[in-house]
Amino acid sequence: MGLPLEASRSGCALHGALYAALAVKGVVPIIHSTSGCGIQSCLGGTTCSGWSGTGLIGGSAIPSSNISEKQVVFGGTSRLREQIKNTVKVVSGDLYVVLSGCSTEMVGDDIPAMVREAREQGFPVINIATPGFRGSVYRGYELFLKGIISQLEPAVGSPVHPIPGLINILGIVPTQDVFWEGNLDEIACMISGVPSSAWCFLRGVLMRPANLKPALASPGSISIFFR
Amino acid sequence: MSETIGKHIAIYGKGGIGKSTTTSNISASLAAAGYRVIQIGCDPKSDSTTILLGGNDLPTVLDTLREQSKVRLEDISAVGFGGVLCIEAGGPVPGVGCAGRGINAAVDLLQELHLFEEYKPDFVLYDVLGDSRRGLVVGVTGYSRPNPVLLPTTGVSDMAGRQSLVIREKRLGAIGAYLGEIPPLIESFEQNSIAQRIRTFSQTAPDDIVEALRVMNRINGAGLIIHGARGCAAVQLSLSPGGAWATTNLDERDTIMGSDAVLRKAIIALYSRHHPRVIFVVATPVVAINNDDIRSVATELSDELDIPVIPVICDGFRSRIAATGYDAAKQAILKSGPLVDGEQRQEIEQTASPVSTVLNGKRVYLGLPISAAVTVVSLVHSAGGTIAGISVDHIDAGHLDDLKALQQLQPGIVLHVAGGQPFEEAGLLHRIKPELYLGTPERAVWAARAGIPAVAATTEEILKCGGLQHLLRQTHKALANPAFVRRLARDVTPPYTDAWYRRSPDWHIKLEVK
Repeated sequence: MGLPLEASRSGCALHGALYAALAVKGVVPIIHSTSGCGIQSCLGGTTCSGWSGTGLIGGSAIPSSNISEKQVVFGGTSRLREQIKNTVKVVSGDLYVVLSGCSTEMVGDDIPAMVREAREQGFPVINIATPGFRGSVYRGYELFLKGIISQLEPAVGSPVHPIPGLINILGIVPTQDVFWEGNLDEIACMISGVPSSAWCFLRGVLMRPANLKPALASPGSISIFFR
Repeated sequence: MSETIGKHIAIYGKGGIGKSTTTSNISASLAAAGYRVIQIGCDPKSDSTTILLGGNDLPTVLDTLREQSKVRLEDISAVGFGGVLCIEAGGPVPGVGCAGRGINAAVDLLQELHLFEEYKPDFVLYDVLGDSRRGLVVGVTGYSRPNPVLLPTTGVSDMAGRQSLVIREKRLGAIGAYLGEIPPLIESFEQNSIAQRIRTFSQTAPDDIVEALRVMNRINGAGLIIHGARGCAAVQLSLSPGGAWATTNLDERDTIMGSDAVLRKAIIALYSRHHPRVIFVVATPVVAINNDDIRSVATELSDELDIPVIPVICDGFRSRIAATGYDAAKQAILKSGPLVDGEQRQEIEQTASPVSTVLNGKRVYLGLPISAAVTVVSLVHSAGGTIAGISVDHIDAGHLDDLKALQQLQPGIVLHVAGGQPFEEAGLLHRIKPELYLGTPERAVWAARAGIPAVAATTEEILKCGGLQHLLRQTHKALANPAFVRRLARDVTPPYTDAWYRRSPDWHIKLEVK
């Protein structure tokens, strides 16, 4: 049974996954849920949370299937198919991640089937089940990391190689930690004994050594970096 | 909700225990005794009326709804033994969609068809499959709120009337997607022939929950329970970080087993810590899909705590118009008794319209709700500017005067209707290339990133005393420092593909086909 929370300071699992996705350069989240889910995540991340801004495709721009009663009653897979098909046409990105919300998980939409279909057509799409009732943003961040690590290879269709000497700094949830960028910078500085091979994936612009290309743009040499 | 016609009886219980047989026999006996009877099967198996129809199947309401946009009573009913009118609500294909929600949609349709008013039954019998979900029964039989009779065939369940709220699309013909000139809109509202449009690509947008919370949050001394997964309360950090808000923080188990117990716990905890004079329980998609019975818990705790505990009927998916949330909030507030202490508000005299020439010859794009937009169009004109286009969140029949005013202020103005959807605005701004953007913060940010000097202002900031002067000051600043947005546009990658900027901005708006 849920434990009632007063004045909750963090959103749900979907929000945690969204915060992580929006912090990764080249990743475009696609919410498969009701329209308000994405808005709640960005409103929860503004004002008291340091006016975190929109990122590349955050804020009111997050692609979302905005399901209505018709999809709740009859299932929302065809709406999702349409949304994926059009998102890859409208929004530029290297990896599209379908994040499910409470409503579509309760209805039982076959999201993996839609994602497989898009992948067969050559689009780099994965899906992660992140309904809000799974837990807080921390749980969502974790689900996102696990999901992206386990599905990246099939999504881009080539093997994923680790980069020697690369260090992934995990555990700081972007946006939920208002100072996440500064904290990550500081940790990166402290371990800067390995800077030449370190390419920081989240907000990579600041930290990426000039000689390395963005990882997702060159599938031959893909690595996963979390910052 | 219509006044009840006839006596309504629901037979409810789990599958295979003789519900349909019992119901059909009662129907047949009543019909034989000379009464007008309707039997409605509310079971995804849709075989409740088979006995009455001599073994024949009936097309279900849901199947018919799925296949055709205009459903007539003849399509979904048949006259069976002794003249009993038989109807099957039906259900989705197993594993797809939500059965409970589907039956609600079917019952809503029967209501729209004025079934009871037209047929004038003496008795209506419902054959309801309800294993663990008491809510389903409440959902179905709420139709007959004044005199429900329930014959549970297993277990005992208490009843509560199902709450319903007519969504803005139905009540006021509200639309959330449109791009074009204003006269066709005025015409369609005047002729009451609104065409609903949907999007084939969409971005996140405010829903009824967010808007209801915005309203409830302003009520002094109120406690708010957001009954759902914790994310539905995330907006608290933006609206009211210190407010007396709690969420029931539903987990996976609650989505299966029901959420009455945790709701009870949350209300009692919030009451004991804050002693609010009223508690509002805001429903969310999880409880709406499950049809969890909020009303019973609210009624019980109203008595126990001796304060009004009032459900706010939101769901996040029934309406595409976020303003439906205002209606839900209003409905709840009206039930909560007087909330104003009767203090006298001081009348503030509105200062004269400010005089400025800051916008001389400039083309200005507005991204504001329509009521604020009308005011600001006048301001832009008086400061020497013209309107290059307007994006508003929604339009409904209540905006007819505003639409006419806009058309009169600047004939030929292009109106874009979209809750959020900055991708459409990005396309529009790319084409129109206005010299200034004036809009709500969540819209203005995207204009600034596209390199257009932008002023962010909420409706409240504009319409309050001195708001227009404030707007002009901000406008002056934005125009005086174009380097800021120039740099923003240079350093920020646009999120949309080149192909999108070449498309018509309303490419993904289509007429809704049912």
